[in-house]
Amino acid sequence: MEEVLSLIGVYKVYGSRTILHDINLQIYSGEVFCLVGPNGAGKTTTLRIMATLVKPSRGHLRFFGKHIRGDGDILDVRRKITYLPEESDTYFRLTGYEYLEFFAKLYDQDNYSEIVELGVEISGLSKEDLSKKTGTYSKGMRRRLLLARSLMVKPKIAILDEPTSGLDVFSNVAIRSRIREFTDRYGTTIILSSHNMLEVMSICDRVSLIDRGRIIYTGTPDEAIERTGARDLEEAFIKLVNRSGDDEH
Amino acid sequence: MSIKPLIKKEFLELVRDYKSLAILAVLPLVMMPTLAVFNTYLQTLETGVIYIDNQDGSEGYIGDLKIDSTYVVNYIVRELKQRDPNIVVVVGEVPDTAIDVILTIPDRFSYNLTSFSERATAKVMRAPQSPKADRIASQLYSALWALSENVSRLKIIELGRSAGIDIDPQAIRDPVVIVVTSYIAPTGETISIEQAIKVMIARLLAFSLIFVATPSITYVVDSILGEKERKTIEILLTTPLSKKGLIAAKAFTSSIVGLFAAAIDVVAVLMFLIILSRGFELSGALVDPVLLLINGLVVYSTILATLSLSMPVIIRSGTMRTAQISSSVITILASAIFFSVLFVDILKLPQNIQAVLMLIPYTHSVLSIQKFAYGDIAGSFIHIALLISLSIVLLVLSSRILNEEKMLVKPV
Repeated sequence: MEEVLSLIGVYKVYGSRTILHDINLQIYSGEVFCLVGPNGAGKTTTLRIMATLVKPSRGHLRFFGKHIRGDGDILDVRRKITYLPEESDTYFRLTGYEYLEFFAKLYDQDNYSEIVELGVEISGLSKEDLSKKTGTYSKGMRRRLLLARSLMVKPKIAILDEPTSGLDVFSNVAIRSRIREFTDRYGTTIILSSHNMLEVMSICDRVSLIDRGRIIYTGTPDEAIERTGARDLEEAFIKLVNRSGDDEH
Repeated sequence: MSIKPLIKKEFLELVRDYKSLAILAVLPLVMMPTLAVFNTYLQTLETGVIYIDNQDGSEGYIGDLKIDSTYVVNYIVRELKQRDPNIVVVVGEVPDTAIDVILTIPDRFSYNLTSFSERATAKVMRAPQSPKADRIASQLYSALWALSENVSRLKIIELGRSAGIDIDPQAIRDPVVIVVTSYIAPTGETISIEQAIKVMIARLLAFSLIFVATPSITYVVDSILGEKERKTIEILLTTPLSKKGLIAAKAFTSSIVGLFAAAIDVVAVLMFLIILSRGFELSGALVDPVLLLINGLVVYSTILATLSLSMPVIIRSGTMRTAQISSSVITILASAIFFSVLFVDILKLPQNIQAVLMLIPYTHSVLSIQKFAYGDIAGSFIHIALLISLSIVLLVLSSRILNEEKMLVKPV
């Protein structure tokens, strides 16, 4: 498989605090890659670095085999990736359709209607719903619209930070199935962070566990279970985190 | 990457923010005329009390005319009533109500008034720090001045009659007649009365720029940091939109908001002036379309300058509160310049002070309008060009210093 994104020896330091330590990750074309870890482990910072919003204090970022250096490289990358932050929302005064159209035009002025059409399909929202202002939507509907916004432009890489966070089980399942379907259909690489181990087991091809700013495991979910002798992924990660803590002490 | 989608999005959000738009439009239109009504009509309804303490028991003659305290008091009361019917004049007993002004007519007043060698003294006491007392005292001074002028005229006629000379009292009282035939610009060139009115209007228009800065700054702060608060900025920053495009679209939309607010404010200011002056002959000169066009250009370039000055501060502020505090400093600076033009003519200041003031963009806004009013059209456009150039430089600088990370990560 072709490598689409690499983090090479990435550190992130804020003041006297080192948030990320020597992060090395390779993401491959068409896979669903999950980043899991406890709160404050550094997942969002890692995803923001991947989304070119945050610059590493040390180390490199490589997209599609090319090192990212200046603003020109960053803009080039942003044409090929999308990012859905965990804490994000829609423009409340725009209708669902206008919201999709706005972002579609930012990516492709000429063929935006086709993009919007796909966005409408991914969102699963009715025409009636899409003609309403997003401020009237439920949280689940807004999240589906945000996901549709991320996927409709058929990015090479879609980075999704906790895409199902805070949603009920129905919205959760709907979003998860749409991500999987989309990857299978268009070959888009998905990088997502999650707390939900069921979600990780069901859609992720590979997973990395991050704890206190360090990657302590990268492999398939099944390998993690096998390696730790755990009954499920949740237990496997707890064991890996504890083991990592013991190693540090 | 075209910035049109972002501009369209900004406008859609703007026009659907009905409450803000209504406040932006209605508030100045209601507030300024209301202020004018409070300042004028309510004042006219106010009743003021003058107590005349008449201690004069004397009398005197000018020719056959007998002047005593009754003549004096009646004259003053009549003059006061003609000037302001709402003034209550009490003579004799001290009234129970609050007194605004006391006029004391001392003994021998009438005698001295009719004398050819003495002057009569009237004493006035008034309430301190009271606009009402100011107004009434001013009317009383006018009434006393009218009495003085009338007695003076009678004395001159009497002197002339005694001397057997044909006298025009005006020729003795005011031998010099002042007639303003034309006005001059600071350059010394003669300007017409119409242009002189334009200069006065220009001064008022320059002052009205004071209302231009605030709405656009408020909008641009909300447009950028509001996106952060509403959790929409992170997605926008990862789109292929360049930093320059983002800044340009935000600045353009905010400038249109500022222009809208400025137009409303100018209308409100004009309403304020019209009500305040109640028929003051401004309307003919105000409809000069070229002056209004220049004013429009100045307003827009002033808004752009304000936005571009505040933009670097806003994008580096991190929080709405910091941005608003920093932006208010810019508003105060603008207000100081616009307010000062009511009293100071920048072109008449010493060169070194002018040089310092030229570094402040708002000085160019003022000078552009004033120079046009004086007929210096080229000078007017040079100042507009300077404003726009400075704005572009600052906006480019803003796009250079825009740092996504600093916008997203909370300051520790």
